[in-house]
Amino acid sequence: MVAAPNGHKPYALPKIASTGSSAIIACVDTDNNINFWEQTNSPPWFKHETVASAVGGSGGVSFPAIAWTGNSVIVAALTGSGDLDFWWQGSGHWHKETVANVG
Amino acid sequence: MGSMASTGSSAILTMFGGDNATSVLYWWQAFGTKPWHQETVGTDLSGFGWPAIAWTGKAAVIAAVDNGGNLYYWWQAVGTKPWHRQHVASGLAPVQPATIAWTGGGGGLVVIAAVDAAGNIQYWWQKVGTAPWNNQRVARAGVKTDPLDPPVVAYNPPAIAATESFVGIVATDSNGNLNYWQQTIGTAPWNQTVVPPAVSGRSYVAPDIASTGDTVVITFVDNSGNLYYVTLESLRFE
Repeated sequence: MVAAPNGHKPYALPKIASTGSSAIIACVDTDNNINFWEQTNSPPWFKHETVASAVGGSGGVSFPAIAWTGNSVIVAALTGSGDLDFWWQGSGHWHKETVANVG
Repeated sequence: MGSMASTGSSAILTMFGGDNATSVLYWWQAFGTKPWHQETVGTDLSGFGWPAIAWTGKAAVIAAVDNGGNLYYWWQAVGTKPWHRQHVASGLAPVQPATIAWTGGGGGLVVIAAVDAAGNIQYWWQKVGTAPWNNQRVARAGVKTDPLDPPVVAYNPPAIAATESFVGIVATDSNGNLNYWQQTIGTAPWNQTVVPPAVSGRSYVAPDIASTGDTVVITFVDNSGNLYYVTLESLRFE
């Protein structure tokens, strides 16, 4: 098990990719956070980061996606208001862009 | 595989959109640049389910199922504008997500999986530069897969990943089990592994799978919101 929802609402819709040397996972939870884990070489085997919190307001967030660019992790998700949002990881931070509103 | 991929120099995304989700849309953005560039891949008045995307090294490839249960495939060669459409199959579960991947290698295959209207897992493969889609049924609903369970009523939408040597498909079923099927490239049989929930009363849902180059990794959750990760080794292939 990577993570139990201790202190969080349940995790949902996990997506996985590989960097070539480790697995990376993104999923949403029912508090509308976007969570990220990267596999490590020692216990607890996965390191957690919060990509973004309370995404999408009352409309929530769903359909996360994750990929590895060769240099960094990229994450995308759809908010309940139809925003397709995108995050990229750089300099220890997650940077957000809105790709489009798909209504 | 999901709705986003990397070409190595750009992020590429797909999603349904437009009025009543009647279009499959595509966005790309070169790393370190702005803005996002949007293109319409295809339009169908019936609407589409969640599309899936992959990158072959020379083309972006997308698959989606429409509200009439038709599975479509689109591809766009790198550096070109037009999207080319092929009708892959009919009789799929309407607007359920399809899944697509690329095996890599010189004789690479585009591979697609989806659940049909009867709850079976279907698989298609096409060699690059050829026209026909080759179909196989991976798993049939109505069959017992675990002696302790009733027959599987239906499989849920699958996820697919591929390496140069094999294709892997993962899906949960109506009994709450995680199912993994693997086929060696160039062969016909699918080898199935069924993973029942570790705790009585739990069920597994929403699996995803990715290629790591020479193997695959899988993630999924259970109905209590616990997140899991498995490798082929931990699935204990037999």
